Amino acid sequence: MGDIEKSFLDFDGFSDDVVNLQVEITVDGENVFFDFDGSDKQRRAPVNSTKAMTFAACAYALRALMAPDMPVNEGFYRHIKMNAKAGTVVHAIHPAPVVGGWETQVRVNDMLFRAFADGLPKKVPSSTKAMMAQAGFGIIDRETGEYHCNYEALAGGYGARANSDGPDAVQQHGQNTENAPVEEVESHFPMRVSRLSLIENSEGPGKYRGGLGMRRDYQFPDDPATFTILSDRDIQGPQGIFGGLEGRKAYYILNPDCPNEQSIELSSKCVIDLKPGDTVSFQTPGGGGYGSPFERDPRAVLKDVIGGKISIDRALDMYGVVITKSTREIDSDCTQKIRQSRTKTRRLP
Amino acid sequence: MTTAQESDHHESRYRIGVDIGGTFTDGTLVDSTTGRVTTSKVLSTPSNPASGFISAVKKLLSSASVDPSHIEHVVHATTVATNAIIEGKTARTAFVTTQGFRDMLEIARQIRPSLYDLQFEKPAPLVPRQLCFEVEERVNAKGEVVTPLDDHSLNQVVNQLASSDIEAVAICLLHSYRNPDHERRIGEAISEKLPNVIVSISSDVVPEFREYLRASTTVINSSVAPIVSAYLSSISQKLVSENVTSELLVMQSSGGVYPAQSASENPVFMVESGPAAGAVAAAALGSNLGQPNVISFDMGGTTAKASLIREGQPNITKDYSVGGAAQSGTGAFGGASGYPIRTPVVDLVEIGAGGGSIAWVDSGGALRVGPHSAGADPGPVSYGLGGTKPTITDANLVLGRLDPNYFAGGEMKLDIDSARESIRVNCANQLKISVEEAAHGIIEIANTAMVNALRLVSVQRGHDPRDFMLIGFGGAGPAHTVRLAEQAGIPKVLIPLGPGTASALGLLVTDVRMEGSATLIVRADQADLTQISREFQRLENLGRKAHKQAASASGAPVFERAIEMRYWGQSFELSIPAPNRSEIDQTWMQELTESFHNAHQTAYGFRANDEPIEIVNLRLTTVGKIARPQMLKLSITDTGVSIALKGTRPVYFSEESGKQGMIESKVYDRSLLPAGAVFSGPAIVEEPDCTTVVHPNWQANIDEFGNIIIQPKN
Repeated sequence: MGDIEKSFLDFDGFSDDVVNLQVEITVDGENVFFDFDGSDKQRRAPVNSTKAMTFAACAYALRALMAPDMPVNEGFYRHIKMNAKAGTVVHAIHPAPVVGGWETQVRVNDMLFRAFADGLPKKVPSSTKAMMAQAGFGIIDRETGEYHCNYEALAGGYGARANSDGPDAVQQHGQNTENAPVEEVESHFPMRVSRLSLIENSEGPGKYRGGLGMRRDYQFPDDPATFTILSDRDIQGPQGIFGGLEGRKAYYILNPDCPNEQSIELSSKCVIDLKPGDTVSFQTPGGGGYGSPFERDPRAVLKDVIGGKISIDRALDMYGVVITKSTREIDSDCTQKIRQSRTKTRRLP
Repeated sequence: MTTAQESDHHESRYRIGVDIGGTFTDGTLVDSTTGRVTTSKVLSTPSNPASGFISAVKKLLSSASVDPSHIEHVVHATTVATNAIIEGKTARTAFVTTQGFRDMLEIARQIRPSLYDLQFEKPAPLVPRQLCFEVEERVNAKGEVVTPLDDHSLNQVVNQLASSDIEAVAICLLHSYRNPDHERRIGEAISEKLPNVIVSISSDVVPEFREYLRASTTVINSSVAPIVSAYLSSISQKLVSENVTSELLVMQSSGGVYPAQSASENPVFMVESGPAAGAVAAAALGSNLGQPNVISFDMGGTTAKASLIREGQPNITKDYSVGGAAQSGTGAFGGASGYPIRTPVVDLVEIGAGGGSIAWVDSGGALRVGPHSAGADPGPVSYGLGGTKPTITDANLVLGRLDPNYFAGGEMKLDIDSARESIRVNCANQLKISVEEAAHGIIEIANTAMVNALRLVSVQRGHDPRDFMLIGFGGAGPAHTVRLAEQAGIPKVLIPLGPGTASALGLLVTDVRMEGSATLIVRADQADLTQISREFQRLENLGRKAHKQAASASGAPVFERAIEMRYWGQSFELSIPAPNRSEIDQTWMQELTESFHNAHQTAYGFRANDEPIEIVNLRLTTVGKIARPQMLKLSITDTGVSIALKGTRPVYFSEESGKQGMIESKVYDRSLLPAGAVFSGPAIVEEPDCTTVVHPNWQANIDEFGNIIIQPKN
């Protein structure tokens, strides 16, 4: 009997139906068997992963859980057994569209670590952004009349681990692309990145917290443009593990920081036309937490408050840590009382 | 008066180099007219490095009997800046940037430093988030002001800084490389209110595009500046109290030197001061023999370093991270574990293999070497100082490559029995092989890692190792160099005189170098040539001004121009030396683009003749030449090698070397080997600080400078 784990993509881009994923992992003697039965049939929407991509997710997870300097050779791959039925979202066949298949692949990766969690609690991280966070735009250069397009994939919060917080704004399993320098992008396109920041209070709380998500705002001051989002997590953020809580979900917002009627929430898979002056704010999720937030070292909570990564209110609401506003000090007695009473009443944040 | 001055000049002919390492501080004094070299080795004093520095200088002056007033200049390599960063002891620094970008240092390049490590950490920014501030202002990519600098928000930030108890501030605004005005005004406002705080401005430190790399460079500059300037002023004072009043120069990461004053202002250029000296020494040794293409291999107690020198110049990179794992060759993302700097750095690969590296058998039954090191304390088992784990030095001893009675010139007797026992218990028994086979396995595993380092600096950068000479030095290097050459396919090996202190020689055979650069992003086929010309002119003016600080220590400024270019649409550029033509015209541009295609071919294996090329940065190095000291020449004699023969002993060699097992080998005393001597391997050459192993099938000769040159027989 193996560990069964389920996951899903929030949105396939065409229908409102979630994309269900499932895996059962069995360690049988010298082989590790990944059974994806229970995952959805392939979609008309471009969220289908190929068999090779799914196999790569299995190999990655296994490689990451084993000794760090173990060579990856045929002898390693031989022990990976996989059942991913042809015609499913984890083994797409012609003519299924696959451009967004990485959304499925990275979510499979995330699901695999959750499946391993009971057996290897010290090794697996909590959920990460588990979406590619692809942002593209196209624009016509007024001076030359040439069409230019730009593509990049953004970082998010990493999942918390058994002994450490998830790093803030960093790439995820199987993805390690750098961010394009703002000065490089602005030198080649008539647009501006108006903000590149961590998202405060976006972490999944836990004994160890998830990493903060990241926000990148694309502003098109003078020219019309098209903007493409191929991403996910617009319904649910990365889950916590062993009592850790969920990280903030992703947001895709047209004209943020504007009065409500002008500010529009976009979906995670769309192409939109922008008029001069528009801004798209791409906000990636925070990582999931690990362990109960009430067990978090109050000094670690204070450090996040001092750094402005979480607010004083959030320290109290999520972690039960009381910090005095004026002195920025922990009120130990109050903290202890609040944590005790909430644990007794099983009142989770 | 004239006569007196001339005579003074004649007397000021001694130069001193001091290189502070983890265990020892090495001093070298050279008489620049005769080439005679005096060396000193004292224990480093990590809690107060200046004290080790001055003991090394005093020891040099007394053993060479030189009047301190006759010192021409002193050159220093120090790890004081790197150590501050690695140990988290940088100054309390704040960061000021454009509104919306406060988290530039936290986000960094958003990459994981290691692909499969689930427990990885991003390096903690050198500035905590609460000391990162935003100012309302914005400049666009053309350098035009989109949002003027808002005085109110500036005042707010200055007031916050005033109540933050900081020692330094780094300012990096978007596109300041195109328009530094806002950065300057912010810097002035801060200095006015906080005159004791060190302010670094990104457009001064490294005025190049890519905001995070420029910010990181600027932050390192300001956060080590208080430490470096205090340190340099303390050693300057100590020198003066020893009556050494000549110029103090500091080694930069690039292998050039600059005055202590420049180092105090722009310390980010000397962060990797220490390792650069070895590469410069190797370059000089090669050039001296008319061999401008060499690979430098420097192996000490804890690490081994490799670098490549082409046409007499060490390979330089600007893709470097301080405190990162990039230099251990762990992969393309290793740099993300440290703090990037965009200053020229000698391109080194450093791995954890030194004389003290510990051998062990892992849970899968494989023999492993390092990365743990026994260091100098407790040291290898054979030192008898409490070490119990077998090291590379112990393995070399068991194989007969080191003489237990002639270690450190006989000052220290090595315990071969306990070395054997330790290898038996910790390695041979588990592997069910003999002690000699296990010892040989230890050496071969370490060699494999070191050969890999040699390949990283050569093959991986598009250079064929067969076209190079390998120069081996450092206390442990020459015992391994010939075998490495054999494995890497390098046809010639050089072991310099005094290999243990050879890297300090690098301090005395280099020039003053001041770096300048400017970003100009333009397609080569659309470039305004007069603009390029104007920019270079502007950089030359800045270079002339900077050179004034070094005027007394070096010759008149000369300029080296380079252009950083890429195919249009690429993200990474190559640095191309400017064509050697007085005028920047169409022919200049044609030669430049042709050089770029060729460089791309060398680096990446292809050229794309039809792709447009983009210029991104102009670079100008202002060079103040320092005359090289004479190299001391020996007269070639035909006395033969017999006077140097100390005897024979059995030494273990492997099958790959032609024979296997213990082979009776001749042992020579290096100090008695005359220039012109020729001898064959298997042989051992001993000197107090080092042992050279000449493998079977290799032949050695001593050249007129005392170097051992080793080549395959036939």
